[in-house]
Amino acid sequence: MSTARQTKVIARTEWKLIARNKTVLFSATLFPLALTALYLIQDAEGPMAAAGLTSIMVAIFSSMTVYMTVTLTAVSRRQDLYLKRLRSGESSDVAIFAGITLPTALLCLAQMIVVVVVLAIIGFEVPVEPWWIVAAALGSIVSCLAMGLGTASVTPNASAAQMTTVPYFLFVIGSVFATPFADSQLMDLTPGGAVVTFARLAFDVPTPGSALTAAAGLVIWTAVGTEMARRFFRWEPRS
Amino acid sequence: MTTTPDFAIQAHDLRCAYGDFEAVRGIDLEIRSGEMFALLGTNGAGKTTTMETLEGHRRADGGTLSVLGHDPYTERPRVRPRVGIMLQESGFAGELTVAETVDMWLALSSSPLGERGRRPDTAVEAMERLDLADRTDTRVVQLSGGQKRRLDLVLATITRPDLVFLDEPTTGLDPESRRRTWDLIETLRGSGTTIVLTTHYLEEAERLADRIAIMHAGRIAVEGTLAELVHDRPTQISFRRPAELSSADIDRALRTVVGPQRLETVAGDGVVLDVTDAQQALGRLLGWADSQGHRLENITVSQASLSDVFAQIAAGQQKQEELV
Ligand SMILES: Nc1ncnc2c1ncn2[C@@H]1O[C@H](COP(=O)(O)OP(=O)(O)O)[C@@H](O)[C@H]1O
Ligand SMILES: [Mg+2]
Repeated sequence: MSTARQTKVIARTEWKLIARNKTVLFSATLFPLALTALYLIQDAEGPMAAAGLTSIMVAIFSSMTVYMTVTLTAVSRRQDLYLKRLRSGESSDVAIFAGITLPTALLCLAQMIVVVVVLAIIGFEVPVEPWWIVAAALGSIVSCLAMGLGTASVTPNASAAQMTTVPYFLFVIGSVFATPFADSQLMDLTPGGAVVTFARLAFDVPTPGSALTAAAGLVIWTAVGTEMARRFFRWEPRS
Repeated sequence: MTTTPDFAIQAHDLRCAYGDFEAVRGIDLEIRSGEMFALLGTNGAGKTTTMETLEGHRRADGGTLSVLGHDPYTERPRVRPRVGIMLQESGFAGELTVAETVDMWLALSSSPLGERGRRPDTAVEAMERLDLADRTDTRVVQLSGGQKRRLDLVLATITRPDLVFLDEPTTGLDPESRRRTWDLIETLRGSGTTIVLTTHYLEEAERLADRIAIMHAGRIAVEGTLAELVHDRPTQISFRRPAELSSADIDRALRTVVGPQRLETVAGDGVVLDVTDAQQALGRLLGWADSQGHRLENITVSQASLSDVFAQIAAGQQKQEELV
């Protein structure tokens, strides 16, 4: 029984659960989309503004749709003893982790694609090197996913998740906004700064950062989250 | 540790702790293939911790353990495909229907029964036997506690595992559901499945189990077949004290008549005797009563039962708690 097939089965189930839980679907979709729309109507022009808007979009989507949802999902599935149920079968731990987080990551990706298509239609600035946006999006989603599991590892229950998710969420968003002011390559090591650097590379805007340090930044946060999960993750509320 | 194929489970000096608290304090277990083994004990005795260690949910903190020839924790992928687990407490994805839940579980198993697109007869049959057949389109959140418990049992057994762990499968079930559950368990056993079960219903263990262990404070206090467990326990003879005899009279008389066997007199007009040789004691008692012209009313003889053994072990626990 392969981990890939188990992941697919768990993910398909998780997707059904998301689709049947209107509140989750609503908050995971509408809120980030609305926030992005809010920025769009600011009517800024030029590659600098485009790079800024893109990084904010990526940061908001990955921190809200992925980071917060993954934390909350992992904690509440644990609280419901659903994780313990999955773990009493044949599924590997990796398949369970991947299965319950993949749908959220895909949802996030879908949202980003929707926004990109909308931007293209309304004739927004076209990126010179679009694959950097892909790098920013994937890197940010993966690091937020790992940090979501890491945060879930130190979150005792669903209501505590409202508190425990605040620091990293603010860190992601805050570092996006702080990067233009800090004007230093060190910002690449923050989750938001890395996204800003990739976005600037995409629109060919001068930046103190580099693709290499930005990638290193996202890898670091992915590793931090993974390590937290590896050490502290609990499969049941009491253990 | 190697396992002979005759044993589904072998554990030696198995220990499991939560932080500083050792919940399982060195137990030895040998459960033969095809055997039905019942683990009894008061709440907190360590049954669930033992089960979860055997299942591979937790790492043993000491001792050796082999389940179907492997370490259930480190070799989970090798053991689990052959094992069915019903946890004492487990959750469902409440928004799924019963049918979706069963299908997901089959899809997650490597059993050929789980091949896509068809629900195997075992699943249909188990749902019918556990009275869930008309609930297939019901969302799991809407099931009653007893129905969820039965769905739990369906999931633990549909892939026809070689070894099944059932942690309190009948707690909270009504008598009819309990009977249906017993029937299913008996069918499983009939087909050669090894079953490890915990329960608070002693009659369940008496009825189903080949062997029984009673746990107490993290250790196995007694273990054996039902006959072995009650073998050395005294049989109880009780009767009403004839009005013409005082407590002291009867005490004295019984001491000489019944002899060195253990003897107990209870206050009021009830007399209770604990004897090791019931036939001999009863013969002498009746002989004495006839010869002295006493009439013994309400004579009952009761063979020691599992519940006596259990009560004695639980009482030991109380004593210990008083000392703390
Ligand atoms: N997750 C846990 N953390 C700390 N203590 C626990 C945990 N689970 C069980 N215990 C303790 O371990 C002991 C044995 O519990 P358990 O194995 O559930 O017993 P049983 O199933 O026989 O009722 C109890 O004293 C219980 O309080
Ligand atoms: Mg228990």
